Amino acid sequence: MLADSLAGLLGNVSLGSSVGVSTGGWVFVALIAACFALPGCLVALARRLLPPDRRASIPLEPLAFGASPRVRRSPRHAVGLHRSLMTSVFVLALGLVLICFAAAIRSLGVTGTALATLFAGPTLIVALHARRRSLDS
Amino acid sequence: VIELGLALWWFTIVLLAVMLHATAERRARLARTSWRRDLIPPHRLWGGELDRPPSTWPWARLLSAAARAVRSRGLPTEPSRGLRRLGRVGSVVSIAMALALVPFAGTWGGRPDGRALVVLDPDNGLLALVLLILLSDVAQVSIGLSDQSVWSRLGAVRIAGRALASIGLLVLVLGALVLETGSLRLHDLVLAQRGSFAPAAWLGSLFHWQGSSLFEVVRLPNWLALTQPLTAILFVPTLVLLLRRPLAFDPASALVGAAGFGLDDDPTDRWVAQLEQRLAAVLAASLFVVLFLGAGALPYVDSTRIAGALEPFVGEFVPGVLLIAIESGVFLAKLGLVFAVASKLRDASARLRDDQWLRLATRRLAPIAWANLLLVAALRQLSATWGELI
Repeated sequence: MLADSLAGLLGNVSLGSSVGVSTGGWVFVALIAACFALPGCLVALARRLLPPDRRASIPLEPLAFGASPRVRRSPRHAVGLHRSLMTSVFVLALGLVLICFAAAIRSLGVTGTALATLFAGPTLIVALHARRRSLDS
Repeated sequence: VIELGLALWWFTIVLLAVMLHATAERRARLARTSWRRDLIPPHRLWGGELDRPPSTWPWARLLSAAARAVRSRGLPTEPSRGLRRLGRVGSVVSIAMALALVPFAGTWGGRPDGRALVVLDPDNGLLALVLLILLSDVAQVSIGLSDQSVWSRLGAVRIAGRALASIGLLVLVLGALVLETGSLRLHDLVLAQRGSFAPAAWLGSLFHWQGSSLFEVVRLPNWLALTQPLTAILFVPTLVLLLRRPLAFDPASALVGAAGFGLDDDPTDRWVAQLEQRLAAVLAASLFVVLFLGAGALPYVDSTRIAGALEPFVGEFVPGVLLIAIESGVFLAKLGLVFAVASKLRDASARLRDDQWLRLATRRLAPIAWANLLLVAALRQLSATWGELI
């Protein structure tokens, strides 16, 4: 009964179709972007007025957990690489799911969300209840 | 012209809010060390820090910052400049667009059918907000991955983990608000919080006796923070996870910096990082004010009455502008209050590690958010049935 109510409540949500950014929106975004870029542009302008030997960039080695051969052989290096790889994979998967989600919402409407909730909610509750608990939880 | 005026006015309010946040943060930082004198670095020996140059005179700090910015800069070798620039642009645009969605005041002239005082007013504002916040986090991750530094990559992993754990939580929390108001438009959420309600009125309808109207006397503003307190409580850690980005040089967080900003100590990078961090904080506080504290509305005061009382004397335009000024001031005051309370909460609470944050979000907050969603749905259904019975 509660699930039916939830579906009914979600069915009452008005889903609009207006997409697009007005002129005021672009002006606001441009002003914020100008706040970010203005100091950098002014600094670049001031640096161009300096003699070349005063404005030369100093190349820096990237920060690392130390530069000795022993550290370079450390397993932490592989862990860092693996983490960054997994991050990009997860973020990509998340983006793909969100694109599918937006397309489904657009074609089915919010009632599609209600039906999906009815399917996923009990599954999630059963999965949470039946999960193997660790010792400290 | 109205759109341009609104954009300029909202931009001014955002700038004031950024200054408010910077002032509050600086005061909190300096006050934090004043009770432990032994923690203050010896300036005579160290010559000050980037955050605390020897002078407290603002113009001297500005001049020294300009001098640092113009001097020879250090550039880390082998950075992925394209990805980094793309990440920066994505982060700035998404945060700015999310800010443009914020309805800081009610309607023109206080009328229910008046023009909404918001720069961008899409019908699916809440969906757009979730996607823009996620996009800003993805942009931060790409900035961190573009740098060769291990610390930056770990910062990117931190942000990715936080975003993955909390984006679903944000949807669940916002779902409860959508059920309450029946709309995905942010401005409708603001309008739904006008007026007041009597929290004990149901007691009066339960017992039909002569003094039952006394229960109607105690009235509270119709803010969602009061009608849905659990949703408001859940919203705070969700936004902390999604929008708080402690940097490498943040003495309060004492954590490894997020996503590569400022790690090479380049002043221009530092400016971009701090402004992005402050805008994200302003966005988080603005969303709390809009979704739970009624935006710029004065509690217990009907703005339509103010405009109606002035209209016979000065026409329609002046009361409209006056109401915008009043509601913008109230909005800024509420923002300041949220900043102050958040600062006190941060001081009073322990610093959680990232794994503790993720554990809290996925194992504790997400089930509570599910329960809250079902509770709100059940209460709405119950109140509808109750109304039919009465």
